[in-house]
Formats: sequence, C-alpha cells, structure tokens
Amino acid sequence: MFVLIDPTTVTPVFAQIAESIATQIATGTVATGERLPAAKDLAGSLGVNVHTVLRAYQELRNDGQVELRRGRGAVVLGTPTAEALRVAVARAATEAKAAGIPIGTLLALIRKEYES
Amino acid sequence: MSTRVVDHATARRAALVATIWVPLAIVVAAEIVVVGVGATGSSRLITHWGAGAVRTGPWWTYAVLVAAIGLPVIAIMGFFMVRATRMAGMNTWMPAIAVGITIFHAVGMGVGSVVLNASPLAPALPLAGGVVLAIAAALLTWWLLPREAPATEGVDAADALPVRSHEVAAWTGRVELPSWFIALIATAAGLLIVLGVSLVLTLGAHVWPIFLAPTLLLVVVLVTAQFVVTAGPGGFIVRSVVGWPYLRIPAESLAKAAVVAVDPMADFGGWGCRWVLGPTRKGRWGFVTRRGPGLEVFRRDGRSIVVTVDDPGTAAAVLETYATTQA
Repeated sequence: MFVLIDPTTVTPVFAQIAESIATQIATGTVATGERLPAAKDLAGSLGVNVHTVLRAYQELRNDGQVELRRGRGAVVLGTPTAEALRVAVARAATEAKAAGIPIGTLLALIRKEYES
Repeated sequence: MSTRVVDHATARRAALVATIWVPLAIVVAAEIVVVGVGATGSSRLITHWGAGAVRTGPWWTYAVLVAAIGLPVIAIMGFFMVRATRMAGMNTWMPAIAVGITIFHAVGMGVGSVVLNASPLAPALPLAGGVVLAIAAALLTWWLLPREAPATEGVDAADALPVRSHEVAAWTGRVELPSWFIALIATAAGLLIVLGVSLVLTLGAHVWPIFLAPTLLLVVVLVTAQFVVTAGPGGFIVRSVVGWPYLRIPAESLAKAAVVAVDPMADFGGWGCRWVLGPTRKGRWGFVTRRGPGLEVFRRDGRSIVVTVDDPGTAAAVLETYATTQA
C-alpha cells in the first residue's frame, strides 16, 4: 500500500495517513477484506512513530472504514456508500466529457454543491 | 571453477547433458556391471546386512534397484532442469546433484554391493565409498561445467515519483505462500507428529528423532509463510513476519528498482525464499510465490532482491525516488 505524507504542513501526520488510506479505499485501490500493513511496518517505512499510524487506523475505524481485530490487524470493511459515491462521480465525469466540459469546471461544480 | 565462459545456449546444452545424459550413461554402465557379475556369480546375493543373520535375494534385485532409483531421478531432475534453463542465469548445482545422486546409488549401492557382496567390507565400504565418490563427482561436474556469460543488458529502472523534498512516500506489501499450501504442509506435519506420539507411546522414548522432520517442516513453513516488504526513505526491507530472515538495502546503497517478469522455476529453481547467481552473475535473492510481474531491487554492487508483491510498479517508483535523490 502506498502512503504519501508531508510532515511540514499543518495537517497532523496521522490525519494525512488516514486520508491517504481512505482515498485508496474509496477508489477501490485497497479492496474490501484487505489487511492494512502492520502499524509497525508502515511506521518504519514512513519514518514516523508507530503510535501515529495506530492513531490513523483508529480514525479509520471511527469512520467505519476498517475493523481492528486482535491478531489480524486492520481489515478494510466494505463501504457501500464509498462505492455508490464512486459510481456517481464516474457518471458525472462521463457526462462532463460527453458535453465537453473541462475538468476544472466539473471540480468547481462539485465544490459548489458540496459547500452549499 | 571452470573458466570457460560460453553463451546461454551452450551453457544450457552442457547443463542438460550433465543432468540427463551423464547420469543415464552411469546407470547403463552400472547395469552392465551388475548384470555381468550377477549372471556369472552366485545366483543369490546378500540384500540386507544387519546385527543378526543376513538376508539374501536373487542377484537381479540390484539390477532392478539401480533402474528403479536411477531412471526416476533422471526424469525428475531432467524435467526441472529443462524448465530451469529456459532463461539466462542458470544454476550449475542442479546437474552436480544429479550426477552425485546417480553415482551414489548406481555405483556405490548398486555396483559396490554386488562386487563386494560376500566381502566383510560390505556394506560399509559401498556406502562410505559411494558417498565419497558422489561428492567428488558432484564437485567435478560443478567445476567442469562451462559458465554462462553474464547478461549484458540490464532491466530498465522504473520512473521516480514526483515527490517534493519535504514529502515522504512509502510503500508496504506482502509476499505470501498460498493459504492452501500452508494448510497442506501443516496438516502433513500434524499427522506426522500424531504418528510420532503414538510410536513413542508404543515403542518408547528412544524413537524421539521421528519428531525432527515434521518439526523442522513446521518451523520452515512458519518462518517463510509470509514476508513483509517495505519501501521508503530508509530504503528497502524484506522481513519474515516472525522477524527473520531479514534483508535490507539502505537508501544509500540503492541503485535502482524495476518491475520484472518472474518465473520462480526458471529464475530461482523453485518457489519460496531462494538465492541464486543472477543473469549478471551477481547474487540474487528471491522471495517468490507465483509467476508474473514482480519487483527487483538492485544494490549499487549489482546484487539484487526479487519479490513477487502485488503492485510492484508503485513500489519501484517509491524506491526510484529515494535511489535518485540520494545519488
């Protein structure tokens, strides 16, 4: 699993890790039932404290994205809402392409809807 | 070691001759001697030496034994060697083992037991002599085989990620044996242990060495069942889930990373945790559990590690990021 963080930004590192994983769950890059790497291994590869990764995993659990099981680690749960969202976004993107609407306009539209 | 360096086709031919035709010639020659001695000597030969009375059998017992062991050994070693030599960078120890095994059973156990049958030196001399001859023949084969010229063209490194200097990219993956395979081995070892317990209960504690093989099997499976692979600013690490074996390439010795096509049999002579001399005649570790795309990570000195992880492209890109920024 790939994780990219930027320790110099104001967003806490644990939140960045959680967001990075959440994005991959939403896009299907990380599949339902897949085990996330052991916190110790992910922390070692990123060069961060193991508690930072554990905190990220807890965030994901609180969001209902993963299940933390003793001995099995963090397991990705099926999130039907994420899948439904992905389908809706895919349809919007297809329609935008067909109508010749540039991606910037599509993103602006999504932002406007989200913030309204 | 032979200093003759030849191309892949010639090296392959020599290796196949040593694995198939040389053992076949040894078996045929041994059969001629066994049949010759057996047909002209006494019709019954000793087949079991023991503390008590010896047991005898018809002379052709040995002729059958030499063929019954020799031909399957040649068939199995030949089958694997034909597959293992399809690509560059073959092993030269497999032909050596084929010749060694054949010398041991055909010359030592077969010819030796027949020629020295009534001698007080049997069965010690045929056995010990067979072992010595087998090791000598194996070493000679290994020494005589021509060496394959190192592959000149290397693999292309992956593209680095567009990571900014204050960002940190990392990747983790796993190399796992299929769970059905682990279950199979664990069941087999479990059955052997149950059998061992029942034998200890009926025959006494002195049969304890019966536990050695299944215990060793369980330990090996446990240790090699799953490897954790990580890539990041610290470099590249392959580690068994139990902590050992552990291999690491620090970022400063990281030369390049690439996605390569892996065929465990052809590249490493089998599955699991392996070490071979690679196509460039540098040490190549393999943690390989399947065919298909894998990740190969090179040290600056040319040695490399191959792992059959999922998504090797991302892993290679992460490693390339740190290989280039550290250069």
